[in-house]
Amino acid sequence: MGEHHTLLELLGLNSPKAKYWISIGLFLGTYAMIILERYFHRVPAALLGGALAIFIGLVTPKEAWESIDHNTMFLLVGMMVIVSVLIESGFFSILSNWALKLTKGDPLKILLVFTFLTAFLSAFLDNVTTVLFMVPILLQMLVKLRINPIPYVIATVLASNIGGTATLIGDPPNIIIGSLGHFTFNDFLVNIAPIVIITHIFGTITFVLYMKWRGYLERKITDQEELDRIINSQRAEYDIPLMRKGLIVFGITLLLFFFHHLIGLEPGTVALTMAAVLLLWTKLNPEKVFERVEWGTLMFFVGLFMVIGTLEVTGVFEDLAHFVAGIVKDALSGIWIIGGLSAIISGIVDNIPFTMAMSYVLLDLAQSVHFNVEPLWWALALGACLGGNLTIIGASANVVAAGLVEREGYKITFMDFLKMGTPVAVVTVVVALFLLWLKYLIFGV
Amino acid sequence: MEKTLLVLFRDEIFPEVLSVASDIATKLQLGVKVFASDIPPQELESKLPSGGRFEVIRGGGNFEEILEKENPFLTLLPRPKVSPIVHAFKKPWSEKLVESTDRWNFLLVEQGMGKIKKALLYVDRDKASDTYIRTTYEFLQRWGVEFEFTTVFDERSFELLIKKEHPEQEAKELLGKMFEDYISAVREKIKKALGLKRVEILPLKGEVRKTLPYFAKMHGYDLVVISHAYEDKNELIENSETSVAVFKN
Repeated sequence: MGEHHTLLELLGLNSPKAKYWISIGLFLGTYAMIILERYFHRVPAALLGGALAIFIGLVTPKEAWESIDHNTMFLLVGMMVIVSVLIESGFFSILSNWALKLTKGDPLKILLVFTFLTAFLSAFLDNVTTVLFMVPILLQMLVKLRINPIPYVIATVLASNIGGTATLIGDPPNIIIGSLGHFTFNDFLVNIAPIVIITHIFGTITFVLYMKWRGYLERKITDQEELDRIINSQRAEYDIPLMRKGLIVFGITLLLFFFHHLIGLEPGTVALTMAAVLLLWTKLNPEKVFERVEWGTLMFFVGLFMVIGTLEVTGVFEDLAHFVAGIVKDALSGIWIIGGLSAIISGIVDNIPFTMAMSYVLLDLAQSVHFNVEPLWWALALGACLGGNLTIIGASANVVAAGLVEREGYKITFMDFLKMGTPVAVVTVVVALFLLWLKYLIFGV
Repeated sequence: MEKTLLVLFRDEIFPEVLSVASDIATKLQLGVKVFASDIPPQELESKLPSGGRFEVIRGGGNFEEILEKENPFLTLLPRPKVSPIVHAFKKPWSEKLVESTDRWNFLLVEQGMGKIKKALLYVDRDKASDTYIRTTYEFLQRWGVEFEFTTVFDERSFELLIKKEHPEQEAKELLGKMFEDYISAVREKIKKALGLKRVEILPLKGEVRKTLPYFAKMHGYDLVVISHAYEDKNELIENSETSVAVFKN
C-alpha cells in the first residue's frame, strides 16, 4: 500500500503555522455560513466545516471523532426522546389547558401564567420544544379572545430563554458548559438557578410594564359567560397510562441528575439509559418517537464540535486564552467582561457555536491564570443564554416562534422583537451578572 | 338478559349514578340493588331517593362477592372527576374493579353526568363478538339513548412501513384502501351480527385509546361503549372524560 498524503501536505501547507491560520479560516467561513441563514442551512454548513477539516488534513478522522462531546450528544438525544414521549402523552397540552382555565381570559393573568409556566418548563426541556408547545396554544387562545398575540408570543419566548438558563439541561449552551466545564446538574441548581429566579422576576416586570405602556393588556371580551365558554371548550388528546410512564421515567431521570456525581455517571449516560428504558416500557414504535427528535440540531452539534475541535488541535484556543487572560485580571471583573461579551455576541449570532468556542477558551484560560475561573463559566452561561433575547436571531426558540406565528397569518418583525427583547435582555443580563458578582464578592471566589 | 341492575359505592354516594340507574331501570323494567362497602345499610337507605326501585343489599362482603351473588345484568359505578395528571397517579377504585375482571357488564358513570343522551358504540374488526354487538345494541335501543356505531382505524402501525416502501402518492392510496377495507369489514360484521341490511358507522382514524375518548368528549357524547376484549380497555377508560360502559364479549 502506498503512502497517503493529505491535501495540505500536497499543497505544502502542512506546517503548524499554516494549519493554525487555515483552521481559523475554516472556523470563520463556517461561522459566516451559519450566520447567513438566508442563503445556507446551518446544519449542512456546520457539517461541511467539520468534514472539510478532515478532508484537507487539518485533523485526522480519529481526532475529529474524539472532538465530538459524547456527553452533550447523549444528553440531547436522551432528553429529546423522553420529551417526545411526554408530548405524545399530551402532558404539555394538559398543562397549557390548565393554565387557560386558571387565567379565566384575563390578559395580565394569561401573560403571567404562560410566561411563568414556559420559564418553568424551559428549565427542564429544551427551549425550542417548550416554544413549540406553548406558542400554538397561546395563539389559539388569544385569537379566540380577540387579543393581538404578537407581544404575548414574544414575552413567552423571552421567558423560555430566561427559564432555560436555570439548569444544566435547560438550554444547549448550558449542556455544553456542563459537559466541557465538568459541572453537575446540582452545580447549576446552586449557582445559576437562584439567580435566574430573581432575574425572571425582573424580566417579567420589564415586559409587563412595556405591554401595559403599549396598551396590550386590555380585555377585548368582557362578557364572562362568553369567556368561560371559550376556555372550557379546550381539551387535550391525551394518554394517561403513557403519561404516567413518561413522568415516572422523567422523575427518575431528574433524580439521577441530582445524584449523578455520587453514582459516577454523566448526565448524558443517565438520559440515554432512561430514554431506552422508557421506549422499552411504553412499547411505542421507536421510529415514531424519533420523528420528534431534532436530528438536524444533533447533526449541527456534530459538525460544530468537529470544526471547533480543529481550533483546539491547532492551538488557537490556547492563544485566545492568553489574550483573554491579558484582559481579565481577576474573576470579579471577568464576570462582567465574559458575561457582557457573551450576551452581546449571543444576541447577534447563534449562541451554540459561540459557547462552544468560549468553553475551550475558558478551559485553556484555567491553565494560564492564577485565579479560580468558575465564576467565568457561570458568567458565560448567563450571558450566552440571556443574551439570546436581544434580537430575533439570538436564539433558536425566537426563530421557531416567528415561524409558528407566520403559519397563523401573523408576523413578528425584527423591530417588534427588538423593541421588547432588548430592554428585557439588558435588564436580565445586568441583574444576573450583578447577582453573580455580588455572590462572589460576599462569599469570595 | 338477567333482571337486575347493581349499583356499587364505597364511602360516598354519587347521585348521578342513582339517576342513571333509575333511568335505565325504568326503561328496561329492571330492579336496582344498591351496595356501599363503607356505609351502613340504614344510613345508605336513608340517603337513597324515595319512591325509586332501589333495594339496599344488607350483609357484608366485598364487591367481587356481591357481584358473584347478585349476578347483575349491569353494574353501575361512580367515576370521580379528577384532573388527568392526578388521575395518572391515583386511580379510582371503580376503575380498578372494572380492570380486574371481564365477567360482568359495567357502566362507569362520570361524576356530574346525571343523564346520558348520546353514546358511541365501539366495534372493532377483530375482537368484537356477535354477542357483544347484539347485547349492547339491544341495551342502548331499549334504554332509548341516541347512539352511533363507531370504529377506529389505527394506520400508525402500517404507515411508516408503507411510506418507506412506496412513493408518497401510492402510499396514500394504499392507506386509503386499507382504511376503506377496514370500515367495510366492521360494517359487514355488525350487519351479520344484527341481521340488518344497512348499517351506518362513524369511522375514525388514530389510536383507539386516545382518539375515541377525545372524539367523544369534543363532540358532546356522554357515553362510550366498549368490550372487555378490547386490548387497551384499561387505557381507554383512564383516558375518557365521559361515562364508559364495558360489556362482556
